[in-house]
Order: sequence, then structure tokens, then C-alpha cells
Amino acid sequence: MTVLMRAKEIIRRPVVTLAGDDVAQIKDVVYADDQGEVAGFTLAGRGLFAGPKKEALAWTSIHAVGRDAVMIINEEMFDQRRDIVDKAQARGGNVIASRVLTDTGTDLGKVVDAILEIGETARVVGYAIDSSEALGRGGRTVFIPLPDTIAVSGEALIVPSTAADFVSDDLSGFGASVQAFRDRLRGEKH
Amino acid sequence: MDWWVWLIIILAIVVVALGGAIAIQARRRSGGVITKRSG
Repeated sequence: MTVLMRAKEIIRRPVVTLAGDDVAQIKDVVYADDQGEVAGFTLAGRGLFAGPKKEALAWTSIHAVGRDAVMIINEEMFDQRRDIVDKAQARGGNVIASRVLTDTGTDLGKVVDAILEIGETARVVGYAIDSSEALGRGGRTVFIPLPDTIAVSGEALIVPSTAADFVSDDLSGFGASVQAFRDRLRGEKH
Repeated sequence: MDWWVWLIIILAIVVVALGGAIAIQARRRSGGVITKRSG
């Protein structure tokens, strides 16, 4: 079973061990730029004066992503941050506020969040965007699906132009939009 | 200057420094969604 979740719901969520120790909070969600698979999370310390931590949390080290906390067995589950994402990527790779362009050159809007499909693995399956005029949604925040293989290597995020036909207004219907969009792409290839 | 004037100045500096430190750390702690280059 999988659930869809906004990345911002997970960011700042506390990381708690099964012994009940509140050891960190989620800072960044890190995902691969080709398949969208979530590699893990960078971490920040808890408390007013705490900054980013040198440790990170690989997806495979997580016991559970709960409504109120990310659970780990113990602090030994932490990896070094550089094993999850290097400093240069962490500085320049944030997709929030990036523009979404279709492969035919239409600006669909600005990314405000990423949508994760969480099950045994986690994957970025879409973006929440502040829609542009071209999308005709009156500037509202909408959800746009991503193909199985995504392109996020430049400053703009490129999606197939057919993605605009599968935009969803709410997260509850978004899973079906992602599936329909991907089925359409597979149909076009064959 | 009277001693209490110095006290107020020092307290003001401490409050501003503390507020600045908290704001900077909050900014460093704030997160995002990062792409990891696979190629």
C-alpha cells in the first residue's frame, strides 16, 4: 500500500528512536534526478540554536514515516550527509521555486512542493505548482504528475506537454492522475 | 553615563545578538527538496 504525501509535511518532522529519544528533525528530502526515488533526508538538530547536522538518514534506514514523527531504530541508523548528498548538490539542487516547463516550451508555473509516493520505497511522483496563466487555473496551486523518468538537471524542470492534461486540483485524486498520465506516455511509446 | 544606561545598552546588544543567532540557525535549519545527480 502506498500513500501520497507532500514533502513539506515531512520537512521539520522530528526523528525519534524506538527508545523514544527525539534525536533530530528532517531538513531536506533528497531524491534521484532520473527515477525520482527518495535517497533519504538531511537532518537538523532540535532546539532553537541547533543548525544542520553532519549526519543524514537514508530511506532504507527508516523504520516508519508516521503522521507525527519519522521513526528509526536508534541513532546508529544515521549515515554521513555526504553519502546521501554532497554539499554542492545540497546548495544548488533545491527544486522549490523552480519553473516547470513543458517539452514544447510552455511555462506551467513555479514549484511550491514535491509530492511523494510512500510505500516500501519512496518516490517523487509530482509537483505542487503555483499555476501560470498558460495552465488556465487562475494562479491556483495545482498538482502536476511526473513521468517514470524525470528530468531535473537544469534550472527549469522539464515535463512532457501532455502532463498539463493530467493536472489535479487536490491530492486525493492525484494518484489516479499520475497513473493515467504514465499509462498515456507508455501508450504513446508503443 | 549612569550605570543603568550601560546596562540597557548591553542588554539591547545581547537581545539583538540572540535574536540574530536564532534567526540564522532557523534559516540554516529550514529545508527543501533536493535533487541528487545520478549521472
